[in-house]
Parts: sequence; C-alpha cells; structure tokens
Amino acid sequence: MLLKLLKTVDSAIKRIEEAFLALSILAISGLIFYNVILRYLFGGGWAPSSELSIVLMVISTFIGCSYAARKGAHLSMSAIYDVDFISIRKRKIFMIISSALIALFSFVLAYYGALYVRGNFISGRGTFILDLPYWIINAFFPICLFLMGVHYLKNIYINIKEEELYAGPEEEAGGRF
Amino acid sequence: MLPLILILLFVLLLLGLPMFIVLIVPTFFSILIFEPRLSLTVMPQQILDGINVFPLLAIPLFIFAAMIMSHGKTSRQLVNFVSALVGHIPGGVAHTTIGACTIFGAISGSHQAAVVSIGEIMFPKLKEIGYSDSFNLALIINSSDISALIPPSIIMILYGVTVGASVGELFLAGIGPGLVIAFFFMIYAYFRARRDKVYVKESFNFKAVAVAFKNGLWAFGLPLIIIGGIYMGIFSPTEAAAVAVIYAMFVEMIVYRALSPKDLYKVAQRAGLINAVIFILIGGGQLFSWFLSYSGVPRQLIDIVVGIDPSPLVFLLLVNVIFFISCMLIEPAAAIIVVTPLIYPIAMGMGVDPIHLGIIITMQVAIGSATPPFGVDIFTAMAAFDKKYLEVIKDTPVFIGILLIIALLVTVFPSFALFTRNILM
Repeated sequence: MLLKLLKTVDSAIKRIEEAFLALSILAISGLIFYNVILRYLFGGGWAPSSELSIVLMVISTFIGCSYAARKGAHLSMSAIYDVDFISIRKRKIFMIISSALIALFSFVLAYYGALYVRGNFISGRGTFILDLPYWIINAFFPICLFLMGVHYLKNIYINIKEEELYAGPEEEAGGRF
Repeated sequence: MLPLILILLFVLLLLGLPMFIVLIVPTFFSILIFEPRLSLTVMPQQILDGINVFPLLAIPLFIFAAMIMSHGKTSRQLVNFVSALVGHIPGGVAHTTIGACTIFGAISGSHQAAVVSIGEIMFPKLKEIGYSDSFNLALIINSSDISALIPPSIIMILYGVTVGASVGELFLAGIGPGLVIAFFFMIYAYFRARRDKVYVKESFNFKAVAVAFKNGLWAFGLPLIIIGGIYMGIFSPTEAAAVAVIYAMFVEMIVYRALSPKDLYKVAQRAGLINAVIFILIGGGQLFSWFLSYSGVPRQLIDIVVGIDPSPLVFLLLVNVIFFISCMLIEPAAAIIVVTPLIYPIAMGMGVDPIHLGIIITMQVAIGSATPPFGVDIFTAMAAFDKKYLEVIKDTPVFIGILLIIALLVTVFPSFALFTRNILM
C-alpha cells in the first residue's frame, strides 16, 4: 500500500520534471528571441526577458539534477563501469559504494542549501527587475538535491536485490550526448 | 590542504561519482578542517552564483539548436553536400566525414554531438567501402574535435565567460586553426586510402553538387546567421544562440517537415536534461575554483612562476601540457572552470593575448577529450557504436600526432593562431 503510494508520487514527480525541463528551454529560447525582435523592430527590448530566462535556467538546472539522477545521466568518469576486465560483482560493489557516497553528499548539500534558503527568506531579497523572491527560486536547490539523494538510495537497493549492474532505468551514464 | 584535495579528487573520480560532486566534496572537507570560521552555506551560494550568469545561457541554447538539427534532416543534408564535393577524391568517404564534422561544428557547439550525429551517418558508409572499424572510429572522434574550434563552441563560451574575454573574437579566431586541422586530416586520409587501396565509387558530377547545395541551402543559413550576426554586432552570442534555436525549429518543422511538435517536445526534454547536467557541473566548478582562490592558491602559483621566470613561450607550452593531461582525466567543462582562473593572471602578466590563450586551451581541451585513457569522446563512441575500448583507441595515435603538431604551431606563432580574427577584424 505504502509502496504503491510512493510509486504514484514518484511517477508524478517524474512527469513534472520532464515537462519543466522541456518547457523551460523552449521558453528561454522564445524570451530571448522575442527580445531581439523587439529591439530591432521597435527600438527597445523587454528588460525582464533576460532575468526570467536566467531564473528558468537556474530552476531547471536543479530539477534536471534530480531527473539526471533518475536516469543515471550525470557527467562522470565511468571508466570502471564500462570496461569488462573487472568482474560484475566487483563493479557492483563499487557502484554501491559510490551510490552511497553520492546519496550522502546530496543530503549534505541539501541541508546546507536549506540553511541558505532560510537566510534568503529572512532577508526577503528579490530579483533586480521583477522582484521575484530569491528564497522561492533557490528552494529548488535543497528540494532537488534531496530527491537526487533518494534516487541513489534506490540504486543501492536495486543493486543489492537484482543480479545485474544498475545505474538508472535507461543507463545513460558517462556523458553521452 | 592540497594533498588532501588531490587524493579526494582522484579517488572519487575513479569511483565514478558525478563530476560536480567530485569537485564539491574536497571543498567541503577543506572548509570543515582548514577554514572552520567559514559558514558551509557558502557552498550553495557559490554554486548558485556560478549558474546565475546571463552569457552562459548561450550554451543550453546552442545545444538545443544542434539537437533539433541532428534529429531532423540537417546533418544528412550537410553530409550529402560534402560527399558530392569531395567524394571522388581517393579516401572520399573519409574526406566527407572530416568535412561534415567541420561544417557540423558551425551549427553545433558540442564535439560530442558531432561524434553522434555525423558518426551515425558516416560509420556504416565508411565500413561499407572497406575501412577498418578502428580507423573509422578514430577518424570520427578526432574529426569531431574540429567542431570545438569552429564557432559556435561551448568550450570557447565557457572560457570567455570565465575570464571575461570576448566570445565573438574567440569565435572568429577559432575558424583558422579549425580549417587547418581539417586540411591535414584530409591529407592523411588521402595517403591512408592509397596505402590501404580503398577506392571510391563516385566520380565528380557538377550537377550532383548543385542539387546537394540547393537541398542543403537552409542548413547553411545557420552558420551565416551565427557568425555574421555576431561579427556585424547585430546580436550577442547568447542572442545568436536563441535565433539559432528558432531558425532550426523553422527549418526542421516547416521547411523540411522532419520534426513534429511532439518530437520537438521530446528533443527539448532531452536538451533540458543535458543542459542541467552541464550547468550543475559549472556550479560545482565555480565553488571549487572560488575556494582555491579564497585559500590563496593562484597567488602561490604566481609566486612560484615568477620565481622560475620562464619565457612566455615556455609557459604557454606548459599550459598545453596541463590542459592536455587534465582533459584526458576530467570533463572539459570542469577543466576550464577550475584550471583557467589559475593560469589566466600569470598569462596576462606575461602579456599573452587572452584570445591566443583561449585558442590554445580550446585546442587542448578538444585533443584531450579524444585521447586515451579517459577522453570523454572515446566513451561516447563506445556507447554510440557499441564498440570495445581498445578498438576505439587503436588507430588514434596518428590523428593525435597531427593535432599535437598543429597545437605546437598555434602556441609558438600567435599570428597563426589568430589569423582569421586578424583578417576579419
């Protein structure tokens, strides 16, 4: 019952992450292009466009950070997992150790991120033009790093339970793009 | 403190932790142990500051534009045009690969994108005509390096933003050395084709060139917009990148009808993921680099270098070696953000042109990422073509040799490194 609930929540988060990543890059392209057009046709740009673009990029960086953990797509030096003269068993042990370290440091970062966001909240500062509160923008940092840690804990669990080497559902490790 | 940092970096790197965590962990322990008065909330603060930079937005936008074009028909049109042009020369298919990677560099900022999108089209053709897999893979990953020098280039944007140099000038300067490399690769491919007796099937046909040119016309518009627009001061590199995205959407969705809105959404999602992964690395790199300068490492380095007092040339050769080695080991983006701030003040003190330094670094980053043992392009190729590590690296030495000779020329003769900028500006 609890497991089923977790799965529903997880797939909802995944959908939101995917939609945000896709829509924000489209929006950034549109905003900056719109600004160029305005400047050349009407002689003046729309000042908030660059600010909004960068805010979207910051938020989607952290959302993507959690999504990349889900996909095993973080840039890393994956040499020991790609070569086959190390046995699967040994690679599995390395994978479990590294997943544990990643989860640990994601939680550490999420903790200090939360402290930092609390500081933002108390100071109440906002962005230069639109005065969007920084604490809301920066809150994605601790939230998404926490989620990232959870995904790596899940990797450990699957690696212990299953036979094969598991780095993410679509195994995209190693900076492949 | 430095030994602790280096050991941690090395161990975590080998364990395959994400690169940004590899950079954050040593900083975390160093602050904890050596700078206890610093609040650890400086970590999120520096990471956020590193990402919150408007000119960096050019990177995700160029990546997005390139992904739209490689999912659509543009890369194939480029290959067809280059093939019609050089396909009849001995080694024609290899020449096509080199030429297509060079032109693809002009629409994409990422050399890994070139490995995948040009490689996937050319690999079967090279195999069919009788080249060995090792040669094909070496050719593809090394030709892709050229696209790091041809604007737009993500490496150059990162360097320009990190040190505050003009990205537009870097773009113009990169064209020259990029074309020289392509030329020497073609000479090698020519002799290699004669030696291995690989013959060509096609003969030169002016009509075929004209048709391929007409079909590829839309694809050629993009480099014109990017380079022309930045060159004439119509827009900044970031704006050029946004225009490139809209142009790519227009060409692929409306002109070629190769991309449906649903495909676009999928591509955008994938681009968003890649961008996030690069940006978080930039954030981690910023934190690490900030901590090094906070604890006075650049100052100490300057003192050491001033003590030895090398000539600028010796220093620049050293820069080559440092970047060559670091890019064999770590992600190029991380190498630029971390190492460049250490080297830049020394180089400026010696009167080195910041653009010259940028071209040297870009070249070494590109070479290092295709060099064994850990160059990222090797792993990209292993994944994309499902080949073994040793097969990918077997034929790389000659290409790397050519690249290193040109890197030496670029270092020794600033006028050679910067000739396209000097002509165009």
